[in-house]
Amino acid sequence: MNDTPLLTARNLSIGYKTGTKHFKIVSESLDLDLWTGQLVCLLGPNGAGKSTLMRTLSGLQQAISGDITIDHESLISLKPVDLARKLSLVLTERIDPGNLTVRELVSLGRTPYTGWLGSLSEVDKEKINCSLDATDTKNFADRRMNELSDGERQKVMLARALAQDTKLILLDEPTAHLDLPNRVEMMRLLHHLARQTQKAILLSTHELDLALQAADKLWLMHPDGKLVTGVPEDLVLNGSFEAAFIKNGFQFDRNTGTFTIHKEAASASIYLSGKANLVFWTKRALQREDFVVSEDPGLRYRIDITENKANPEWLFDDGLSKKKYQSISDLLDDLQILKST
Amino acid sequence: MRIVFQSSSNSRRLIIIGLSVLAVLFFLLDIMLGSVSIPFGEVAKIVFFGESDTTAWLFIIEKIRLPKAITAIIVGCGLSVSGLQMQTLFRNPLAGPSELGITAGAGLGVAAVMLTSGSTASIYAIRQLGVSGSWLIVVMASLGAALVLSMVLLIAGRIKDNVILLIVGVMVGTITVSVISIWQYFSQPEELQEYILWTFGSLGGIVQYHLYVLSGVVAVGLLIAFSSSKALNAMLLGENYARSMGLTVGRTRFIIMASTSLLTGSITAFCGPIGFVGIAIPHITRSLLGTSDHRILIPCCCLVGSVLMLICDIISQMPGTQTVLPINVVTSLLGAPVVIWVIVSRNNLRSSFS
Repeated sequence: MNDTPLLTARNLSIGYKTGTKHFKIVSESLDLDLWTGQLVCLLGPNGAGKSTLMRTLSGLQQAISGDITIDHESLISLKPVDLARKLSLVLTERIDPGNLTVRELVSLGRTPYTGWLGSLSEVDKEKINCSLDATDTKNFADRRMNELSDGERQKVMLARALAQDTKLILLDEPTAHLDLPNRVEMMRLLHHLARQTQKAILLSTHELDLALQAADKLWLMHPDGKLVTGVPEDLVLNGSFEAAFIKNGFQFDRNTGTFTIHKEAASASIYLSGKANLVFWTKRALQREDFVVSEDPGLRYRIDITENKANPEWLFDDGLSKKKYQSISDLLDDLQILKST
Repeated sequence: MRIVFQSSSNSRRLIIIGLSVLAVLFFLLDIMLGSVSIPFGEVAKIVFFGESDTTAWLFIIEKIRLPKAITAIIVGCGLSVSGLQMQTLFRNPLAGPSELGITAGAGLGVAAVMLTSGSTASIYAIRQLGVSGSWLIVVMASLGAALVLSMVLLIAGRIKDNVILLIVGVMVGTITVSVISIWQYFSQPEELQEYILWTFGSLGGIVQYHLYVLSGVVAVGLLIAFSSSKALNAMLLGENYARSMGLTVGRTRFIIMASTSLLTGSITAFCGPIGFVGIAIPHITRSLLGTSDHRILIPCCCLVGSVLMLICDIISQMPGTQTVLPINVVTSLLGAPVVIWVIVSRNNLRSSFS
């Protein structure tokens, strides 16, 4: 039953008008598929055209050429009300309808279904309650929007999109104004929603590591407008991920799935061995000090990390002598000598 | 939480009942007070049963004070609702018919009728013209209002900044006023005098056909406004969200503009440019009721608007004296402090707008 994608784009060109007849094409010949039950993250550096793509897919902006189909119907031929029943949005822009309570704002999500005066039926109320429950916003449903924190506010905006009861939800940088715990929670919530409710969720984000963890699929936008899709792990391993964010001065570490902001220095190479978590943090410290951490055990400089009664110990071997350290701080102090030579 | 919710809706109901009582009370007071004092009992008798022992009182009330009080209510409802719609449409707390030059636009329409058609069309002549004349002036004033509104809206589409929009509105208003000034400069003194009298604003002298035309047009405008309250609610989240919820933003804008132009245009045509009602009353209503739901706000704006316009009218008659102040002076004196309050108490501003 799930054999066709919910949203497809074929040969899509996106961009914007720069004059009456001129277009600035941001990205072209895109073929995209979005399936139900999937959380897809759209990643890309600033200016690659993420927002343009999101706006085009949501119908806020016209595609330059190509077809977008939502639920077997062409996006262009859909009437606004019908589109609103298939697709809902959460946008980056901070809206502040202060006097509205959370419940009132979530109720606005029912707009495509209510009559001319917007009175809510029992079904509407049930949907509103469901979406308040799903986003964990029920306990402040009667508070006003201006009394909420950014994290709560964004959850309310998601609740509004859920109340709109669409199979497809598009979120444009929903985590932009949030702190780390709220970001993690938002992503967890979205992942959970995609699985539980069989919705197709597409979000654009700058949270690379969160996206790598939570997304079922990634859409990677390269700075030149090329778009690569695939399962996150595949994209990391085949190097597409690095290519999308190529820039001087920092590099992507395939082993940890993170970007390191330190340049590869011509400083001494050190071999690390020991327990995985100790190696991980020691490596971070060493990299911050511009040392190269290598996996070659034949190097002159070696650090062996052991645990002595739950206290870590660093044994530094410079090929001539060995010395023990009780903290990374002490270790780094002595390692400074290697730099000057 | 449920209790809190209910109590707030209960207190809301109390406020609405209180406002309705006040509206009736001030309506009767407005008729009662004036250069000739008429006892309260007689006023009630004349208003509700249409009979009195003193024919002079009957005449004064039926021909002068009752139409004037009704006009005050119409003005209060129309201007405040048009201000409310504009504040939501522009997502700007400082939007209002007079602030964005919409009344000036309507004034341009009126000036076009008054100053070009020569001496035959002074304001009193217009008032004697009968139905066709009043329609002409309503249409012209509404068109003038719509012209300025669409100009401001066009610029507002490009500029999101509240303050800049306001400045643009003031500038467009200034341009309109200058055009009128040029017109005035080349006009006959008699025509000028009538026009200047018109700019002071007056709730009086609108009787019979004119009152029917005015109340009919304003009723249509209010109905359009109320029927678009669902769309206005959606517009609270901004245009992009409104569109994503199935709203045809272009059409909604047009409907709101049509309603605003009708309300402002018709009222300005008959009563002159009445300032500050449109901007002040929506703010008062919002903070009084603590809601942004237009389904509640529109009727309540009408109530608050009626009460305040009746009060302004009572003050303008300077009870106990023979003097009458121009209504525009009174509304500005009362309304301008409200605008200052809105700007100063940024909390209040931030609670309704981003």
